[in-house]
Amino acid sequence: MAAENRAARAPSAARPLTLAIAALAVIGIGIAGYLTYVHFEGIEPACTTGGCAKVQASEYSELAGVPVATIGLVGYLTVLVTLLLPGELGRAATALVALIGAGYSGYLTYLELAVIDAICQWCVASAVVMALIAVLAVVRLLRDPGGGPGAPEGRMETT
Amino acid sequence: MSSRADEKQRRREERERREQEQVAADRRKQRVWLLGGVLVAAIAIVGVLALVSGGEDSPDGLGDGSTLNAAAEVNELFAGIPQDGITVGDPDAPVTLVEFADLQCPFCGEFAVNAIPDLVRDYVRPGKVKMELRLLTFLGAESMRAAQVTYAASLQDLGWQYADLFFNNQGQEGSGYITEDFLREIGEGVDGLDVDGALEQSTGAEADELIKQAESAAQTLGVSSTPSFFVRRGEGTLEEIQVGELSAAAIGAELDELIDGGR
Repeated sequence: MAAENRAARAPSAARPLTLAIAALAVIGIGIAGYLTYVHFEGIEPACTTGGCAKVQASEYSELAGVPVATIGLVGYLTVLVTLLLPGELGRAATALVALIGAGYSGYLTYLELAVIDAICQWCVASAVVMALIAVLAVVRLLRDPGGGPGAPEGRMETT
Repeated sequence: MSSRADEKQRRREERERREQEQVAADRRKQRVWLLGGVLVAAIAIVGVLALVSGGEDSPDGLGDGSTLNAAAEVNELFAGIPQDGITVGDPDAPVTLVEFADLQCPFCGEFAVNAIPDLVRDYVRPGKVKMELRLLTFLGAESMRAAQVTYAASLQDLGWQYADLFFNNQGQEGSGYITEDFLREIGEGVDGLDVDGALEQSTGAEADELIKQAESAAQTLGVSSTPSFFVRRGEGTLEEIQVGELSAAAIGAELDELIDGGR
C-alpha cells in the first residue's frame, strides 16, 4: 500500500528533471560531435570569438592523445545511458558523470582564459550545458522521488 | 461498529505516516551522504584528469604519446636558407634584424609561431633581410640550459630551426618541462642535427661564448625585456624598433622602410 503511494508520486517529481537532462545531453552531443568532427577533419570550427582554432590547436585539446571533444561526446552519451539506470545509485551515477564533466569543462575554460589566452564559444557552450546537467542531476539525486536503495526492483519503471 | 473500525483505520494510517516520515528522513540523510561521496569522487577524478592533461608530467604536450608540434613546418620554413652560427639569411642581405629572446618567454613563443614564418618567407628567403638570434636567460636556469642547447645547434648552423621548434612546443614558464628528454626530443625534430653532438657541445666553451655575447650585447643596448628587436642597414648601428603588436606586418613595415633606404 505504502509502496504504491510512493510509486504514484514518483513520476511528477523525477520525470521532468530526467527529460530536461536528456534534452541537454542531446544538445551537448551536438556540440561535442561537431567539435570532434572538425578535429578529425582538421578544419577550423565556425567561430565568432576568433579563438576556436587556437584552442583546438593547443596542446590541451587532447587528453592522452584523445581529443577532449571526443571525451565530451562520450561524457554526454554516458549521461544519457545513466538516465536509464534504476534507483538512487542510477541517479548518483548521472550526477557523478555530470559533475566530472562540469569540473573538467570548468578546468578547460580556465585554461582557455589563463593559459591559451583564447576563447572558443563551442567549448564554453559545452561547459555551460554540462554545468546545467550537473545542477539538475544533483537536484534529481537529492529530491525524493520515493525510491531508494531498498525500493522494490523495477520501481523506476514508473518514473 | 463502523466508528470503531474507522478509529482503527485512522490509527493505522497515523502509524504508517510516522513510519514513512522516519523512512523518508533516513533516506534524505542517505542521499546527502551519497551526494557527498559523488562530489568527492568527481573532484578526485577531475584532479587526475587535470594533472594528466596539463600537469607537471607533460606541460609541454610532448608526453602521453603526443608528438612534436610543427616539426615538418619548421624544417620546411628554413630549408635551403643559408645559416651561419646565430644568423639566418643571405650574408649580403642589406638589412639585419636582431631578436633578443628568452626561450621560456611566452611572447617570444607567440612571435615565433605567429610572425616568424611570414618574415622568413617574405624577407629572409628573398635575401632582403638576415636575422640574428640573441638568446637571453632572464627566466633562470631552465632558460640557460635551453639557450646552451640551442646555441650548440647554432654551431651546426641549425640553431634557428631548433629555437623555432622549441617555441612551437613551448610549455608553461617555470613548470619544469625543460628536461634533457625534452631538449633531446626538440633536437630530434630538426632535420640534419647531430643531437648527441649538440648536447655534448651545449656545455662547452663555444656555446657559452655565444650566450655571453648575447648578454653583453643586451647590456650595451639596454635590453630589459624580451622579445626586443633591433635593426641595422649594412654595417650601420643597431636601432631598436618598437612595434605596437608582435606581428609580421608590424615588423615588416619597419623592415620595408629600411630596405627602401629610409634610414
